[in-house]
Amino acid sequence: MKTQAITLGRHKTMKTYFFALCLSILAVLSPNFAVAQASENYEEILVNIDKNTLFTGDLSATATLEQRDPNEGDDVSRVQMFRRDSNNTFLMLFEKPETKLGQGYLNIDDGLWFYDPESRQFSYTSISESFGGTDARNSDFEASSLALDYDVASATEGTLGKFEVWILELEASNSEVTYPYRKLWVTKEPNLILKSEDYSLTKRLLRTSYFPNYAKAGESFIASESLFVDALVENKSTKFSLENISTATIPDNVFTKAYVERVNR
Amino acid sequence: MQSFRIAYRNVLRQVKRALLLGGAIAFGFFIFTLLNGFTGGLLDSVSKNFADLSGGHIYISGTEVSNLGSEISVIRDTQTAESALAALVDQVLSYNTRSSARASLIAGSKQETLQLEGVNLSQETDFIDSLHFSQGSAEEFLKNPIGILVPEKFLAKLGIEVGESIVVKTTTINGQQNVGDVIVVGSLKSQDLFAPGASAFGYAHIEYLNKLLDMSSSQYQTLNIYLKDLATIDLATTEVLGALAQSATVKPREEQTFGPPSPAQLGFGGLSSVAENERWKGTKFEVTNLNDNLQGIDALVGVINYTGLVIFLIIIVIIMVGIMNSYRMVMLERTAEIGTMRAMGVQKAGIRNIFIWEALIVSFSGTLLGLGLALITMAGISLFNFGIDSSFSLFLNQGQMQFKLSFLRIMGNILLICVMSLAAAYVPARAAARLQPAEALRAV
Repeated sequence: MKTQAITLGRHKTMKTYFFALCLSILAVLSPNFAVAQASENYEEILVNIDKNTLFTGDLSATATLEQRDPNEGDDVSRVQMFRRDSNNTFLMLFEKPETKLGQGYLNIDDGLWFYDPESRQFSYTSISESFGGTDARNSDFEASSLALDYDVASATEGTLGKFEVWILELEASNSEVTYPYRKLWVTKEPNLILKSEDYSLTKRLLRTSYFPNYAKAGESFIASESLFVDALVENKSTKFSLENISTATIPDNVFTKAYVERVNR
Repeated sequence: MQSFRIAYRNVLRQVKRALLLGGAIAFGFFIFTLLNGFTGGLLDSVSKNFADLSGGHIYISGTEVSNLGSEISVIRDTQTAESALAALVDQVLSYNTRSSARASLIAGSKQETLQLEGVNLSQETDFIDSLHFSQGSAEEFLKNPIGILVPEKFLAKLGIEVGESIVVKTTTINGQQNVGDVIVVGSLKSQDLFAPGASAFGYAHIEYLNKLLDMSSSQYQTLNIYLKDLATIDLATTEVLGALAQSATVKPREEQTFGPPSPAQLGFGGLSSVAENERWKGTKFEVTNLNDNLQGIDALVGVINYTGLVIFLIIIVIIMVGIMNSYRMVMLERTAEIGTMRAMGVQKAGIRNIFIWEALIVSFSGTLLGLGLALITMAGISLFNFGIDSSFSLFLNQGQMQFKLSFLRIMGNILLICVMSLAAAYVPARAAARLQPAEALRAV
C-alpha cells in the first residue's frame, strides 16, 4: 500500500510537472507574455534616453524661442539658460523681447519661481505650466525621467526619415505627469527621441514635438533644435533652438534669487 | 407752545435767511444720506453677486495629499462634508456642489481661457434666475450633458455660434492635461469683474467637468451653502468647521489666508507640494464664507462711509458757525423786540426758547428737505440700467444701482443735526435771554 501510494504520488507529481511545463510553453507563446518580456527590454530604452540626456555637470546656452500663435501673433524670445541637472536646478533669463527683458524662471530647492522685473518680486509657479505662454512646457527643460514616469505599453520598429527607430507607446506610471500617454520615435543607436506625440487623459493628441538636431555636451546629448506643434490650436507652434552651448562649471550664486535681482539692476 | 408759534412766525418773517441756513443743512444731509444709501446698496449688491458667482454663502472645500506628496483639491469623503450640514439644523436655505477648472476653449486656430464652473442646475434653481442669457436657455443647458454656457463676448472671440461644438482643454486635479468636446448651448451677458482681464466665468455640468478633472461623478471640490439669514454667517461657519473637526482634519480659521486665489487654486500650473512633515491622511476640510471674500469690499465701504462722515461733520461745523453768527445778528436786530417782550412779562426762558425753536425748525426742515432730495435722487439713479456687462457690474443689482438706507441711521442723523443746531443756537439764545429789559428798550 505504501509503495503504491508513493507511485501514485510520483505519478501525480509527474503530471503536475507536465501540466506546469505546458502552461509555461503556452504562456511563452501567448502575446501577453511576449509584450511583458518585450516591455522589460524596451524599458531599457527609456533608461538609455534618460541617461543619454542626463548631465552630471553644468550647461549654459542661449536659447531662442520662436512662437507662431494665430491668437497672440508671432513672437521671438531669447533666453540665457543655466542648467545644473545634478541637483535639478535651472535659471532662464529673458533677453528678448523688450517686454519680457529681465523676466526669469528660477528652479531651485523650494520650487520654481518666476521673477518680474517690474514689480521686482518673485512669485511661485509650477513645473507643469507652459513656458512663457508657448507650447513648450517648463517640464521640457528639466532632466528627462521617462523610465521613472512611464511604462512601455507597446513597441514596434520603424523608420522616421532616414533613421531606423523604435516607436514606443508609453503610459504614465503615476497620475501626476503632465502627459498621461506619449508616443516616442527613438533612434536605435544612441537612444534619443526624434519625435514625440503627447496625449491627454482622454487620449487626444495635444502636441507633436520634433527633435531633429542634437549637440554633444560632454558624454551627453542635448537637443539643439526642437519644434513643438500644438495639435489642438491650428497653426500654433514653438521652435526652440540652442546656441553657444557650454559645459563649463557655472558659479553656485547663479542659481539664486539674489543673482536674478542683481542682473536686473 | 407760545414760544414755538412766535419762532415759527419769525422763521417766516425772514424767509431768505431761513432758506440759506436750511439749504446748507439740506445739502449736507443730502450728500451724507446719498453716500449712506449708496454704500448700503453696494454691499448688498456685491454680496448677492459674489454669492451667485461662488454658488453660496459658506464654502466647504477639501484637499488631500497624493502618494507623491502633492496637494490635490477634491472632496472624495462627501459623506463627512454633507454631515456637517446637520450642524446648521434649519439655518440652511439650500446647498449645492461644484467643481471648477481653469479651461481653454479652442475653436480652430482660436483659443480663449476662462474659469469653468461645474454646476448642478437641478440643485441650483436660484442660480438659473441669476443668469442672463443673450442666446440659448437654461432648458437647453439642462438637456445637453456636454453643453456649456460661455460669456457672450467669447462667441465673437472664438468665431463661433451657439450650437457649435468646440474643444475644451484643462488640467486634471492631479495636474495632467486633458481634453474633451463640448457644445456651446448658450451665451451669457458677461459680468466683467473689476477690471479688464479679470476672470470670465463659463458653466458646464458638474458630471462632465468631473470627468475632465479625473474625478468620479459623485465627487466635488466645494460644497456651497446658502443660509436663510446672512446675519448668522460667521457663527454658522464656525459651527460647520466644528462639526467637520469631529470626524476629519480641518484647517483652522486662523490659518486660512484670504484674498486673491493662488494660481494653483485658479488652475494655473500644476500642483503644490506638501512638505513631508506636514502631510495628512484623508481629506482636509477648509470652511470659508462670503465675508472672507468681501473683506476688500467691506474695507472700501468703510472708507467711503468714513469719508462721507468726515464731509458731513465738516458741513455740520460750518453750519453751526453759520447758525451761531446768524442768531447773534438776529439778537442784535431784535434787541428792541426782546426788550418789549421782556417788558410785557415774557420770562428769560421764553426768549431763549424762541431762539431755540427757530433753530430747530430751520434745521429739522433742512434735514427733511435733504432727505427728500436724496430719496428722489436715489429713485432717479435706480431707474438707469447700466447693463450687466458694464465694467462695474459687480456693484450693480441686475445692472441697476441699488440704494439701501437704514431707518435708525436716518433718525440718528436727523437727531444729530438737530442737536448740533440747538447747541449752536444756544449761546446767542442765552445771550438774548439775558438782555436787561430796560437796556433793550433803549434800542427802540
